[in-house]
Formats: sequence, C-alpha cells, structure tokens
Amino acid sequence: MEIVKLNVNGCVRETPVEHNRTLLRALREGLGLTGTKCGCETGDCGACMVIIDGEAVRSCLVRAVNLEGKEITTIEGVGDGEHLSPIQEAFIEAGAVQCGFCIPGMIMSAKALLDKNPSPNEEEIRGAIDHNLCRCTGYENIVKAILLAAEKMRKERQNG
Amino acid sequence: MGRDLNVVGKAKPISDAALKVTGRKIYVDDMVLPGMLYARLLLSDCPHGKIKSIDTTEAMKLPGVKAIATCFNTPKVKYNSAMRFIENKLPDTEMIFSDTVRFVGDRVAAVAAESPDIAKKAVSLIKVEYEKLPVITDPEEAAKPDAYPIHDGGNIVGDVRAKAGDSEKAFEDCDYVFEDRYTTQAVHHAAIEPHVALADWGADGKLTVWSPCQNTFGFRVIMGRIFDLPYNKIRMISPAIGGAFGGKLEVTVEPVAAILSKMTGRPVKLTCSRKDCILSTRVRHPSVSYVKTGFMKDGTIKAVDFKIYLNTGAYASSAMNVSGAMSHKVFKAYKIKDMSFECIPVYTNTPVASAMRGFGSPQQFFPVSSMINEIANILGMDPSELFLKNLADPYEKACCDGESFGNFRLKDCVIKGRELIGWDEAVKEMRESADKKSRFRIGVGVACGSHGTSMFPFMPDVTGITMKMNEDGTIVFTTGTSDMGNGSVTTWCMMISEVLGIPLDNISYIKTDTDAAMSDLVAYASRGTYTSGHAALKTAEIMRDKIADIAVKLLEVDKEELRFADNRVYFKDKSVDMTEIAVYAGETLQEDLSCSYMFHSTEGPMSSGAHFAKVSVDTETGEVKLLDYAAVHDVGKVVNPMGVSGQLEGGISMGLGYALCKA
Repeated sequence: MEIVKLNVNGCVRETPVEHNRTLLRALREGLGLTGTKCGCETGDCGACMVIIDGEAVRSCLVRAVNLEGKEITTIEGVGDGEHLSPIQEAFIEAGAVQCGFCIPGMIMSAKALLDKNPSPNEEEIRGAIDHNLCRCTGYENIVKAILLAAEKMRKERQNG
Repeated sequence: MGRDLNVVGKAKPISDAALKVTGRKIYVDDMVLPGMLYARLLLSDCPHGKIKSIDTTEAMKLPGVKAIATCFNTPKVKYNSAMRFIENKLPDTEMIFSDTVRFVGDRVAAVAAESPDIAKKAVSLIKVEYEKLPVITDPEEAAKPDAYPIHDGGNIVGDVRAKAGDSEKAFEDCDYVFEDRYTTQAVHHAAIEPHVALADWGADGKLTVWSPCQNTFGFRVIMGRIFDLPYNKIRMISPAIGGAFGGKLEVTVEPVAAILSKMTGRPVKLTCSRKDCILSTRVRHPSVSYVKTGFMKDGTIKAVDFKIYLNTGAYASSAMNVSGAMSHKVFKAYKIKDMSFECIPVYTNTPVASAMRGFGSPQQFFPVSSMINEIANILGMDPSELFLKNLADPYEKACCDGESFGNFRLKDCVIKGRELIGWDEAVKEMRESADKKSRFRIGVGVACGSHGTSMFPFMPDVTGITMKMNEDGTIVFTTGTSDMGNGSVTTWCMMISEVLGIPLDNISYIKTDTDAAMSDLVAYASRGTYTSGHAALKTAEIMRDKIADIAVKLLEVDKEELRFADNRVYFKDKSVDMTEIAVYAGETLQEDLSCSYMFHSTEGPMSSGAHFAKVSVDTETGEVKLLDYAAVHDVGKVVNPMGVSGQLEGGISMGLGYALCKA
C-alpha cells in the first residue's frame, strides 16, 4: 500500500492505494466519491469518465499512483454544489436522463468537449461521446442536450 | 377528464433527474453499510457437469475472507426465479447453488471478504472438480426424445398451444402456401448498471435486501420460500435501477448475498463484474421458428401455422411466462382468422433466458413481418400494401378469444410511416441499385407489431397506492412499482398533480419498499402507466374528495362546483389553499388526510407500431449501414411526451443492435 495525493475537484486528498489500484476504485472506495460509476472496468462503457488535465479519461483505465500533480474533475465537481451547471440543466431539459447510470460519464465527456470547443457540431458531439454507452436513450436526446448546453454556455458568456 | 389538462400531456423530465445529473442518485453499488463485506462469485467454466468436490481450503486461509457459500452449505430449496406471487405455478429448477452446473456461467460458489480485491483473489483459489456430462446447445437437438436430460423429466419445459379457426382446412383453399425457418439469437440486456445486491441479515432475524430489481414483491415471495421466512421478516428495497429492460425482473444474486450475510452476521454487497453479468444473469430467449403461411394471389393471408422452439437455457425461469404471452400476442395484429400456434420451450446448456423488452414479441413479430416482406416479393407487391391488406381494423375482434382490439390504429401508423421515410422513393432506389448490380445495394423493410398492456387476464394485475397529505398541504405517496428510468413514477405524479391541482414540486413519493408499499405485481408488461397510473388516478380522486369535504366547510359552499388548481380549491371567486385544508384537518378535525386504493386491471388495452428502415448493404463484406428509419406508434393518450419519445428512441436503438449485431 502507498499513500497517493490526488487533486480532485480542486481539493488535494490523500488515500491509501495498492500500486495497481485504478482511479475509479480510488474515487469510489477510497474517497467515497460514488458519483463516478462502475459499469464494466474494461474501458468499454464510459460510465467511469472523469476529466484529467482537461482531457476526458476513463478512470477504470488509469492508475491512481500515476496521477499525483494532475487536476482531476469528477461529476461532483460540476456545478457549485447548490446550483446546477448549464450542462446539467441542459441534460434535464432535453430529456437526456432516463435510468441515469451513464449520465455522470456523459456529462464529463460533454464538459471536456465544451471546455475546448464551445460550438461543436453534431458530428463532433457524437465523436466526443464515442466512449460512452447508453442503453436507455438511443443517444438522440443526449446529443440534443449537449447542443443545448453549448447554447446556454454561450449565452452565459455573452451576459458576462 | 372532459376538460383542459394543465399537467398531463406536457413534456416533463424524469422526477429524479437532478439527482442523476449531479451524481447524487444512490444506486445499490454506491451503498456502504457499517461492517459491510464484499462478495464475489465463482462461476462454472464447465458447460455441464456434476460437482464432485469444491476445495475452499486455500481460499479460506486468505486474510480477510469471512465465508464461502457453496452447494454443500446452503439451502437445497428449488425455486423459479420468475415467480411473482404465492400461487404462481412455474417449474422450480433453480437453487442458490446446485450440485450440478448446467452452463458456463452457472454459480458454483461465492466468497464474502473484507474487500472486493480479497474476495476476487479468494475466488481464484477455489478448486472445483466436475464429472463432465453431455453438452447440448441447440434447442432442436435438445428437444429430441433421446437427448441427454439437462433436468429430471427431460429437456422440454412445456408445450404451449393455441389456435383459432381451422388453419389446416384454410390452407387447402389458398392459392399459395409458403414456409420458412427463422432464427433469433440471444441478446444480453446490457444495462449499464451491473447486477448487484446488498443483503443485511439482522441479528433480529430480519433480512433486508437492496437490489435494483423490477419486482420487490415477487422477490420477497422467492426469498421467503428459499429461507423459510415470513414476509414481515423480509424487506426488499429497490432504491434505484440503472437500467433493467427485463434483466432485473428475476432473482439472480439476491439469495447469494442473503446467505452470505446470514453466514457472517454482517451486511454483504455482491456486485457482478460485467463478464459475470453477461455470462450468469439473463439473456433474451433465442428461438427457432417455422412459419407456414397460406395466401391468395391478391395478397390476402388466409392461414398461418407458427411453431417456435424457445431456448430457455439451463433453467426454466421465464420459459412458461414468455411462451404463454406469445400464445395470445401472436393472434393480435392481423385479420387472419385461421391460425395455429405452438411454442416449445427447451432446456440447453446455455445462459439462462428471461424476460426482456417485448417478452417474446420480437421472436414472433420478426418471423411474421419477414414472411410478409418475402410474400410481397413473391407476388411483386409493395410489402407496406400487403401489411395494410392484412392488419386488423379498429374494433375488430381477435380470432383467438373474441376480445375487441379497441381503437387499433396500426394501419394509420403504416400510412404515416411510409410518408415519413419517403417510402416510394426508397423502393425506387432499391430497385435501381439491384438493376445496376451495385456493390452497395439499397434495401428497404417494413415491420409491424402490437403489444398489450398489463397482465390481465393472465395474472392478478394489481397495484396499490397509499397517499397522505402533510400538515402543510404537500403530498407523499407510496408505490410498489419500480421506475427503472422509464419515468413511470413521473407519470403518476403528473396525474396526481392534475387531479388535485397541486404543483408537481409539492408531490413526493416512497417507492419499492415491501415494508412501506401496498402489493404490486411487477414492473413489466408495460403496466406502469396503465395499471399503476390508474391506481394513482383513483387514489388522487379519493384524496380530492376528502379535501373537498373540508373545502365546503371552510368556504361554506356546495361540493359540486369546486375547482382544484394552483394549489388551491376554488368556488367561483372564493378559494382556500392546501395548507389551510391540511391545518384544518390536523388541528380542528384532529385527523390526517390519508387514503389508499388497490387497482386491478379488467382489460389489457393494446398499442401498436409500424417501423420502416432503409439500409445500404455492402455486397462484398456484408456490412449493413442504416441510412434512415421511421417509426410510428399508436399509444393512446400521451401522459408525458418526453417519456414516450425517450422510450421509443431507446427501444429502436436496442432493436437495431439486436438486428445488426448477430452473435
């Protein structure tokens, strides 16, 4: 076991991990951050998506010990705790939420995209969620949600 | 209701969406109880064998391992994981752990340990010896009289037959008779949330199990039978479901978590790996069907014989339920009066089949629709015209039982769908690509299906709702029906809001807790909106009546002309708000405003849909690309348009995977 310092949602926390412990397990079991979901642990479903230094990463595919010094954002870091972010509001309004299990991962992929590309087209959106599986919605409303989120974020920037 | 609707009919996001988009919705795998252990399964890698020995010595020595359950130290009670209620008679072929494994993925043992990693390591240290037995994977082979019996009594689970008219005689009068064989493959539900159960066998002998199950009451019946516990000593709770589609309708890992909790005296959480889910939980029944159709030159279909082998896998589970459902659904879309149906569910040494979205419908609508497309080809007719010629009209009577189809608008769906996809143009493109012998050929197809709602008249289709008004006029209700993301609870909230004139935000609920809720049959058969919606409606009407009794006292008016809106009760220009009503009830009358209602269905209304697809097929590689798709459904009164379109889009996506990704 070793103690690793992880910067998660702007807060540096220590947690003991084995050398091969994934970030997913460290988040859920070590830090009690259960918003990031475990769907497969083989990198296939994307339910475990987080953002590391601005990139969307499947947390089941990376080791916690390799992430000291990196900035990790999870679903718990989206919104300010009291208010929903535009992305979260958009997912609700567009009817993109059914069972909800894929949603944290989807939102992280959406956020990683929109933070870099504020006006994506549908093809770019579908590319950004290519590693996220959803079994409920058929993806239609998820794509609409991300387009709506982009619009909301543009308006927010315009209004200062 | 005979008036304008303010809530029903308007798009509403699912009621717990804010929890889900913030990661704060608690699913069972997110739960941690004090002292909780983690469990892991050992699954068979032998497709069929008698267990000679299970050596757990090395595994038990591993620090942190607290118990290992096998067939040698667990109840030998046989059950059927699809059982719904006490008198539900189904073949009992399953055990928590059997001394015989019947498919790769069958349960052999389970370890409870201080951490998931220790449990996983311990599983790898368990040594199992099998006496191998013959393996059969093909259902037609398994159905032969000399096939090795996978269960006592042979491999035929049942033989479900139904008929209408006399198809044998009708074939004689047909211009043509066409026969073909169709197969459908197994599909895994692949809900993004893996199967999981958290069991706490308390020191007081009360067993509480949290499971993302669709059927808390049915699960309680089964757990009661396995562990010989009265129902007040079993509490099944389904706090959230991360997708199910029928795959969480049957008991899978719940008894395993429960027995480990009993053995250790601690809560035990068993989360399946994705591989364990795919192998050892449930799949859709694969099938082999033989369809014989007699038709006339003008395309009128006169007779159909439909025989289907349903591969139920290693255990009976839903075999009789699905085959029973198919035996009436098959008759309910067409005008055809002379039909016969036979379904033979068969055991094989393959994963266990179960309920899955449609519950036997794809396995019969696919062959019938395919056959109609083929017949259209033979006759040189447009397949959509052939459907229109043979689909039932509104209020026609079903040939099998004389029940009315109701306002059945499937033909209208075909006409609308044709228009949406640009059918004539698409057919022209198909013919042109065939004439040119292009590498990439355009293909077009049309298929139709119908679906009943509720389990009437096959099971007691019941559900109850209790409702109370808090002291401030807000409402809480309880329900036993699950919401697996399909938004069923949201539709009930909308109905209650409509009836009581109370805002949606003022309505909360407790769901799927067998200690809190009245009985519910189960969340399947598309009964959430219809059956539970009726219960919600009736309960709200009873509550409205109680509120009205108080309003007339406070307003000193007649009951008949009261209007409920904006969280108030109006009589012309006088009104009183719900808080005043509740305060009067509690402080003056010294009573809670509460009520309950148990609804049982007395009919099973039908819905239907017509789907059109345009594809491109690479004739060199066989790759199929979907170019365009149109689906039109007759769904009756829409309560929540966002919910309906979400379900249809998701269902189409799932169906496309089923069609285009053959295992």
